[in-house]
Amino acid sequence: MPLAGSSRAAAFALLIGSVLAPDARAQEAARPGDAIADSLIAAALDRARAGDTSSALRTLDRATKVAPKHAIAHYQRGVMLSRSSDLGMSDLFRRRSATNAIKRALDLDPGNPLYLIELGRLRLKTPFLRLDAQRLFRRALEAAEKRGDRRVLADVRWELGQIHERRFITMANRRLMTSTARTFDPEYALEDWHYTHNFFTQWSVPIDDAGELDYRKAEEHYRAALEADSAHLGAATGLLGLLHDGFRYEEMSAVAMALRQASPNEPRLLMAQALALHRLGRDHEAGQLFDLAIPLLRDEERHDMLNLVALLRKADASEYAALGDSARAEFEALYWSLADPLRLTPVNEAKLEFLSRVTYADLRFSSAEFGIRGWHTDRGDILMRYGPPPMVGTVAPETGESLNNEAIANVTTVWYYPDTKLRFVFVGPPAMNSSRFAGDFRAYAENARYIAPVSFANIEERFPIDSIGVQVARFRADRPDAVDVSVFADVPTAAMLRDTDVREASLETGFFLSDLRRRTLVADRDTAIVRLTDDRPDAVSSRSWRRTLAPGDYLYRVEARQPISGRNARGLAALPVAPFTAGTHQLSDILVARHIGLKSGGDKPTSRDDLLIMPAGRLTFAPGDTIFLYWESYGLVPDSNGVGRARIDLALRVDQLHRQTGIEVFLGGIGDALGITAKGDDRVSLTYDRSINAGAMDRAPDHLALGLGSAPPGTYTLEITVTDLVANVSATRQRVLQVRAP
Amino acid sequence: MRRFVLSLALAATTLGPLASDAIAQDQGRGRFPRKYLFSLIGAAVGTAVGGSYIAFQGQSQPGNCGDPSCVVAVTVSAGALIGYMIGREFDELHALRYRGGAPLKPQSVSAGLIGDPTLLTVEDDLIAVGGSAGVQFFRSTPNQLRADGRRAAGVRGIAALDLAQPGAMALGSVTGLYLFPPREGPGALVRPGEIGATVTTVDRVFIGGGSRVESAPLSADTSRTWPGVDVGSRVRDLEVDLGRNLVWAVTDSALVALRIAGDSLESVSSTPLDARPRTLALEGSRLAVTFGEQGVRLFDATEPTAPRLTAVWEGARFAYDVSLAGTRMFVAAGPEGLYVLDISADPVVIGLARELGFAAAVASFGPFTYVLDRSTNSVRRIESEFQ
Repeated sequence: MPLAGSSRAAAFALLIGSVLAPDARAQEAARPGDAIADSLIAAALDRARAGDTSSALRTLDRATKVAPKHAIAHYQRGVMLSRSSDLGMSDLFRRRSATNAIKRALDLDPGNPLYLIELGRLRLKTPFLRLDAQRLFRRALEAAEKRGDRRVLADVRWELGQIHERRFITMANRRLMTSTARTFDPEYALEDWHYTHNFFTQWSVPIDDAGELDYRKAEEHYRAALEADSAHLGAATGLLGLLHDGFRYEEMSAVAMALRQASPNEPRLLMAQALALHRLGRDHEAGQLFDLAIPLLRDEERHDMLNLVALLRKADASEYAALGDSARAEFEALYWSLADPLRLTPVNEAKLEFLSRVTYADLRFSSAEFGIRGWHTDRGDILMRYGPPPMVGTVAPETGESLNNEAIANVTTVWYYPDTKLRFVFVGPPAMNSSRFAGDFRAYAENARYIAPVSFANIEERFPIDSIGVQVARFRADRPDAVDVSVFADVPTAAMLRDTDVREASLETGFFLSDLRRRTLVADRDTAIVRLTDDRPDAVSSRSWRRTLAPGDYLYRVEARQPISGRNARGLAALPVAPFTAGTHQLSDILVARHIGLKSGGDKPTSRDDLLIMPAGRLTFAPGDTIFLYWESYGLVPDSNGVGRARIDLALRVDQLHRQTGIEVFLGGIGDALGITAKGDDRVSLTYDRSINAGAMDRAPDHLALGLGSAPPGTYTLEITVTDLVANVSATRQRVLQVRAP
Repeated sequence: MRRFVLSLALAATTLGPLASDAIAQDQGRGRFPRKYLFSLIGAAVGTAVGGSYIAFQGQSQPGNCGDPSCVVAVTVSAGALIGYMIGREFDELHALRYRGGAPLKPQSVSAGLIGDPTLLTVEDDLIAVGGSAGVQFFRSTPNQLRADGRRAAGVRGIAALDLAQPGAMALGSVTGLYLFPPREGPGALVRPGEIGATVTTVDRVFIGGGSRVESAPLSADTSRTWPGVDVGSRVRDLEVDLGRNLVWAVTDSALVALRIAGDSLESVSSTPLDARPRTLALEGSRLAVTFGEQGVRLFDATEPTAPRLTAVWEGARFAYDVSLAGTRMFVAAGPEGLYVLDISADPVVIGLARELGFAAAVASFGPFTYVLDRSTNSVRRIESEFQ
């Protein structure tokens, strides 16, 4: 998509300014009228910079009339006409005027390499004359070499490099049809994903080294351009793009770093190096470079490049685009916070992937010549949403009759994502690095966008994330209007080290708590060495965190990372914290544990601090296991003797059963109730009374052991109701448990 | 009929050079320019086409170029021109492919790899290849590279690798240095932290992590920091020099010599480097250091207190890795292939073995040199002294 309005004007004005040759101007300045023409040219360029192309052209017209033998005036007029014309037949007359103006400049200053370059650029924009561009660039190269102008030499080398690069891109990933089908038909591809799948697996074969000559020539030219002018950004990005396409990421990183010496504040070089490092799996370094690069982008460009429009559904994107600056920034922060697969790592992998995608789209699909931004192209759009396609193929243009008219004289490019069966087909002219959706693929892409606006599946592959069982238990805090929150996690260390040939490994864990606006309130990180002592595939490492919080709504994340295996685990959820009202009969959450014991022999506990608790983060047990429960009752009312009396009703209900047999549980071991057994088909309940000492009336801790007996695998809801028999009020809490297969 | 005879004659004239050229290529001699070869082929095809046309259509056709001589002249010229253009492309491609050295075609044996291998090390007849699929082992036998198991499965971020006693292995990773016992058994973490380089002797392992080089016993099984020295900047590669009782290290800024002193190391010298090195190879008193785009530098390490730069070679686009074998130096140059240089005096390029693929790493041991080929995902073996 071309740049609109002032952006476009500014872009080509900048280009015009950059190609104005001071030495040529000096040569011409001696003729009568030239000084006036020069001032008119300067005024025209000012107007062009301000976005007023028409006025600039009129001024340049005047300059050519004031000094008809002033080559620069003709050249500048030609450049302006050229830069404001598009590819194809639509701007034929404008291009012809531009050609005439530059030819006139060449008549006046024969062999000027700048003029030859511009004429070559015009040829590139003109159908049927593109082949002539290379001849003109070669002439320009000879002229530039004779004149020893390194900047112009770099420019012409860059242009030649681009010609070969476009040819390489046309030929790259070329496949030869081996079936009876002569070409790839987008209509069939649209109807049935098997067609695309078969195209890659059965009906075509890749052509080895296709485009190698142009790849190597382009590299030679870009390197020569950079030798002449190491700050030539076009040649630099061209070379970096080639290195990327050749999977030469080490070189790409080293070249980008070397080029940064000449252009230390060039964001594109930083981004290209970051992309290379990302491809090498050095995400931390890549993230650091992106962080350096982004502030160096111009504000307008940064917003255009990094906004979330491409990653949202169309309707959501419209709403997002309508947001004010601060609301948009807040939305973006929230979006990336949610997308971050793991906060334990120093980078946000999802955002890093997005930045890599946009960098690649810029590197490979942008065209400074036509004011095209890579991320706005059809291929760029798909790349941003779904990442680099795992399978890419191109098919040569059709030259004869074909059912697929679009393939005639156009290269067909096929992108296929086997996991999701998504496929996209593009067509574009050869050697132009310009492609658009073929057939109805634009509508197909819109539909795909509605169904799945974005996918980071490619990072999930190299950054697998398991789940962590987390149990949150809320208790009344010692100080009023505060809640004591305990978070227990079972980190699946054995699963994370599965098939990893080491005896021990470091385990990084983290607990992150934020408010609903994603402001971080707690970020607790820890690293420990874990040693695998048995072969149990479900062995876990327990972690716990305890915080006193004000009532409110929170979000928590518990994360674990084992860098040696590359496996990660995560548990995240909303955490509502309701207040405990003083003087009201309430219950804490039920804390479910693998074991609970008294710290000091047989004394009665006054709080959970008096107990040794081995919590069960996963809340998953085996049939026959004994589970331990702990809860606190608040606000019990004493009777006339100063003693509290309560009835405990414990119910275990089957929510989902994996096999149909009855269930049996029994109470015992510790607590006030011993040896009670209950049986039932889908629900059992147990009841017992207890008395509470005068000292524990405001906070009465209670705990018991619950034998699961023959409880079959399934999902259960455990419910505890405590009735204050004095005040005759009840409070209830529930906890969902899993019983796994033995 | 005369036309057919002429066609056959022309075709025959093209086959001779084609065959002799192919033989010359295989034997590494000169190369007949393809533009001439293909011109001849094109002319022959043009003659055949023109002759056929005349044979089927009759001697005289209407139009400006209807007589047989004109038809044949046109088809022969067109064929020759097309052949010339195609041949010229081949010549250009050949010139670009071998811009740094003449083509070499050493005989090689290879073995397939899984995952994305990045590291290669050899000890005796055991070859270890490290990468995303752990470490794959191969035995070098006279006729083949035989797969010999896999260790360190599931280990990510392998950054350094060395083989110690037969089968034992030191493995540096993003999270630490692991020592694997001979033959089988999981790796034991002996040094936590990011490890970028490691090298072993029969009883010790030297560890490059951050800017430190440490020395640990090969029998270590506890995780801790070990005695060593700080070398000032990030360690990129290590080599052990038993003849001089030294460990050589290349860091981001220097070539460092460290003396093995009991259970620790002592600094002997630090020679500044003006570019960032990648890898280091040592043979005898000769050190080779790769610098990526800046090529390879050779040092004379006879005097460890002052190693002397003896040669700089920048012929490769990017030097990924280097190995030394007698008077030969092998430079893995990525997609260019493997450069072979004679370093008996100043480095002289013997040639470029492009057929070995994307040469990402190289190691020499005994009579063989091993190359990690990323394009076919295989490890290849050639004779170091191949002719």
